[in-house]
Amino acid sequence: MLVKRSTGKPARGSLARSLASGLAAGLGATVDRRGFLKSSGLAAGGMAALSALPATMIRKAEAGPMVPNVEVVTRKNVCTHCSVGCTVIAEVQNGVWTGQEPGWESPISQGAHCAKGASVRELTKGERRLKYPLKLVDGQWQRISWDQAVEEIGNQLLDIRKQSGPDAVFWLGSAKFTNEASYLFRKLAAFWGTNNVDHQARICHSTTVAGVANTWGYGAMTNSYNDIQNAKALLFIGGNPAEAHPVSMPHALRGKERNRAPYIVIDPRFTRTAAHATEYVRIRPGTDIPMTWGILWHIFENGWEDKEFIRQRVYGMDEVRAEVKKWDPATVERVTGVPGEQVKRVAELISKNRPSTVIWCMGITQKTTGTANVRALSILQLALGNIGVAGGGANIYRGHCNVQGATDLGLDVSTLPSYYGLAEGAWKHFCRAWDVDYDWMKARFTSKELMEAKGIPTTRWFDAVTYKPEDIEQPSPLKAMFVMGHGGNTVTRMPEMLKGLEKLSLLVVADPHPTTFASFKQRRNGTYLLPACTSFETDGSRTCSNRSLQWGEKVVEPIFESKDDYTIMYLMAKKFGFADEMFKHISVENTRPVPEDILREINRSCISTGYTGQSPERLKMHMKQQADFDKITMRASDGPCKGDYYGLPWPSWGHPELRHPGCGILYDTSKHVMDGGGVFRARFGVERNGVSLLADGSYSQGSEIQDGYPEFTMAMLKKLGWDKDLTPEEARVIQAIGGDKPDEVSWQTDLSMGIIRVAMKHGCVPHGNAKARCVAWNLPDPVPVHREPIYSPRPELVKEYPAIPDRRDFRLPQLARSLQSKIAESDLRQRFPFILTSGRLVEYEGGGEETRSNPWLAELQQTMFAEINPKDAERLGIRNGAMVWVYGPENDAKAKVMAQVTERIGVGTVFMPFHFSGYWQGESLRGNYPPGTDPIVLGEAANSVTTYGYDPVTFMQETKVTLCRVEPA
Amino acid sequence: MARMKFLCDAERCIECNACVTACKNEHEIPWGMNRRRLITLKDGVPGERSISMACMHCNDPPCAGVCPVDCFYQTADGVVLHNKDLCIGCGYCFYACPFGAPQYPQTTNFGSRGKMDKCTFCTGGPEVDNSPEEYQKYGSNRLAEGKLPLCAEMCSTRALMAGDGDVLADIYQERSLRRGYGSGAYGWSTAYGNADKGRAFGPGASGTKGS
Amino acid sequence: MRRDDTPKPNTSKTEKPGIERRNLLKGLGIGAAGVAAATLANTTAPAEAATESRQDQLKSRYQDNAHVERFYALNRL
Repeated sequence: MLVKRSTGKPARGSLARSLASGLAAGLGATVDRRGFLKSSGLAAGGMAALSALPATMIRKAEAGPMVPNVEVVTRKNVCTHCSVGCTVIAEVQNGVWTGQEPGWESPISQGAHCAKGASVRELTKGERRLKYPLKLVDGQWQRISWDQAVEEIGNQLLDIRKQSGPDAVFWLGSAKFTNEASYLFRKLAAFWGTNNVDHQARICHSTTVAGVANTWGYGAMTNSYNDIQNAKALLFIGGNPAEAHPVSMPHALRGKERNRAPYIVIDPRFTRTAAHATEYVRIRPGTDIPMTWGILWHIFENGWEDKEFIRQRVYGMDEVRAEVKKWDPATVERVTGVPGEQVKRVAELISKNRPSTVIWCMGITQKTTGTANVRALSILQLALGNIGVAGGGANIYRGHCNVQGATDLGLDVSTLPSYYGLAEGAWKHFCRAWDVDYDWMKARFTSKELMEAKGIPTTRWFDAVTYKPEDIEQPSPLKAMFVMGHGGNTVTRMPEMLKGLEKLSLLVVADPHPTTFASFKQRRNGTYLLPACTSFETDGSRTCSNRSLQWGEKVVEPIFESKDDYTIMYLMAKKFGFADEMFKHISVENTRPVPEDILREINRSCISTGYTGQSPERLKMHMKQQADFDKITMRASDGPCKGDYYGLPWPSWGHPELRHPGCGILYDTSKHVMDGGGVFRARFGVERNGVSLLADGSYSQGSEIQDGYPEFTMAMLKKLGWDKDLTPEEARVIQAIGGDKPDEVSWQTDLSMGIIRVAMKHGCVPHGNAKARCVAWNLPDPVPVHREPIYSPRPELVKEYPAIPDRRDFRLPQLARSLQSKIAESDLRQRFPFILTSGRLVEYEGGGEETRSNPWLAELQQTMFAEINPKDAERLGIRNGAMVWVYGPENDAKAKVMAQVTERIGVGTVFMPFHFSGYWQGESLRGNYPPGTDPIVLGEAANSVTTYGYDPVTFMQETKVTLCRVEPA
Repeated sequence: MARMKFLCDAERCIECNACVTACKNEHEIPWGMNRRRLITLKDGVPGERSISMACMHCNDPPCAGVCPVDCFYQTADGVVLHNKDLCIGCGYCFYACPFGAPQYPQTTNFGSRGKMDKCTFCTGGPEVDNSPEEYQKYGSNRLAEGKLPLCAEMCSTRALMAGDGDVLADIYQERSLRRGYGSGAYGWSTAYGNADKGRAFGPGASGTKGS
Repeated sequence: MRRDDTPKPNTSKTEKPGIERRNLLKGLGIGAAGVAAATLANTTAPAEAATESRQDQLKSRYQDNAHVERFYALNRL
């Protein structure tokens, strides 16, 4: 041992240096992020590794994964990281996941993985997972049994409910839930009696969902990853799929290569996606609308817009023209910093190479103008006639593996599943579907008013704990939080989040990992950690970004004492005393609800988004028959799924027996509705100010109504004389639902789905055939307008482009214009001279606890860092690899991180990745994690220095533009 | 006889590290050892390209030439393997290798660095194919199972390819021809430098030839 | 970053100092069997592995089967 210890140090230097210099020699003078981290790794993790590793590569036989002569069972699941939905083929021996093979038959991933997907097997080894329930007693973690945990948590929650009302509990769900768990969690919150139930979509694409749904009807990616291969031009804006969605990239790169498609990236940072661009546009963070209107200015100026498409299918383009007129090239350059010539070139490239697709991510959505940004890009695509066509579309890459599904299934403060909203009609629909009495349900809530009021979003939960009670529009501030599968470093303003955390009387975290929530010593009592298993240890479906549902098969039993989400929810419901009501039509085996039954209930009730055709049987068949599906159209040409789109991308209308194939591309009029065709949804009435909102002479192929039409109701069927086509049983159900007003039963509330069947029989889309809206009169900015960020780096522009006026929403006050002008008038800009923006690394996901606990991934990114331009670094005397303090303008916030000096980021801007936590203002929190569960890599959270700022429509947080100061540490 | 090769298409590589973790996963490579890694040139500036590097299984491997205990051998497929029982951890192969492939589990000022470890093209070592003994020392033997290295099989963008060198050359040629444009064409930057992005023939420009 | 805070996966027993020299001996072809045991002493692996004949070691393992063809086909997409 002595020899080892004393030789460790110098030797480390020598080999480490020779390894590092060997690499550097090959690289010349360039410093790459990997090389930089590698050398930092040698100083940190690598050092430990070199001294602590087994001396040889020779391992114990039992440590090896594959055991010879033991039967190998192959199971098929889906990667639990991003929304691409890569197939995972697991080889299992004796109940242990021993090998991972590429799933080449998957129409989506075709065997490919990124670093995360190629390492998911580690999740079920799970050395650093939570192993048993834990309880925090005077700052010490104590092991407890599941029974005790459920009993104590249940009693405390029931006490809080009794004293402060059901709204005093915040239910935070997960985008990593299966569809079935998402739906169940929403149902659990409803039965508990609150709308304070949310998940990661709030901080990811809530503004996308609001923006596109308000434009053309549904909140989702219009085409598919695969379809990007048909694009003649690709425009990426505010997205870095090479790191965030790597397996989407083969589709994009094939499109680029095969079609010689221009590949344009608009981003403040020269990302790895930009590395493959034919045109890279460096934009000032927070100027997406000026950029989009700048592009549209050239399109209108040159008459490149699709005039016929606009005439038939778009409402309100003239009002957009008026706004766009203000954004001449000089103004665009003044605001965005992009040369006028380049904007023109981009406009020309996407106009002359149609169909062109627009791809966006968090760079568009996580802004105080998120919804407006989304709408501006949607309008751009409408102007070019790129919606509803192969190779076009608004290709919105969702984040987590099931954030699309969790959103669709109503894990949201503003709606019940399937976007039914919270109005009385929506509650009545679900009470019928759940077979519970509406009045009983109403009695679960404090009042009918609160039952129909949007809840508190996850971006602001801590404000609802710490604000004065009179500022919170509910009977009591939040007292307890029940978190399932959600990181604690995901919201901005973390110093204030900590205060909220401290004040909660009860915190329950059910997760495979303890999460950041468990790492703060501010809490000493009243925290419970429940080990939840991953989606590889249970089964259920998940919805990828392209709306395809994929059924994941359980690979292994939940490891250690962990339980799956269904079981945990059932145990809580049982403790609360409403399990029998809640699981009336869902069979429960021991304490585990059967996911197939939950999906069948979804099929029966989530009619409005067409989550009805995807029965468990059909989904399982699709997984089995993956090889039959085309790799670009995603359509089965043969086999039992012939004609179906892979994963029955919603909407798959009507009963599963109708065999609707799903919609590969939304709003595609070139196909019959039973063939996956569609039109824009008639969601906003039929007329506004005397102008029709219905489509003009455009309709999906084979439609008997060859013009626009409103959504289908019983009254409309009667008017058309199509009510005769209803079966007696369908007519009976409609009568039963409608009571004395059967005419008012719509396609959405008709549980028989007869109205849908009949509409489609006549070639019509049940949701009506309308125009897409350029003017969304129900939003704060009906036509998107530029507004400077709250912490604008250009205070002189604030008067010209102010934030929206202060307002209230989601039960809370929202500051905007007053705060922005106060900041602009102060000397803040001088004290915080850098723009701070944030983003993703390929190795990690979300809050990062899971991926930072995986040694195969953790080794590749060992240090939290901040990217800073060489010019700025030189001026400040900061060397590459040196530690720096990044100061935020609120709450004396600061974070100590390593400087990565690179031209990747522009002058005056600092970039930080958001996956880290476990350090706080320079101090390690490692000792606060329950022993053995601390992630391998810890670092300062980017959100410890991010600031106030919310989108008015969804309360999305601003993570992409704020101010900071950097100083050598 | 097919000659095994790796080929990384830099126009496709997005530096996602799937190859690195796939390798870790397949062979249970411990922390600190990297049989495969990403190399990025011009990081963060236009022209940035990455390639995935491991042992390149040279025709005439310099590692074998300098090994004092002659622990290397090359299979009929052209895969360069070594015998850990013979390896003395002297580190000569590291200095000889142009790719930095050899890895060592320990460092001391004097003496052994432990048994050298490197990419085996998923072909194990001298022990019986797919025996537990072989797995312990070298990881799995996919080639013997009729498969190819997992890094290539799982590559996110089909940048990293592995297999019969002649087939890979054909595939790469097809890709080059298909790209056919400016900086996508083989040798363009060598001939014209990076300043000329080949806009005249560039993507989207009218008059481009080929399919 | 503080030293004691660095990641420490897979800590395990360290090797005895004497082994390197014996490895060297082995490399010179002295006492192969005994040294193999020493090399493996800390890893509790089976004492002696079944080694292939030289001919078997060098044989071709590559198979141009459906799996491999599938891989090539995906790369042509």
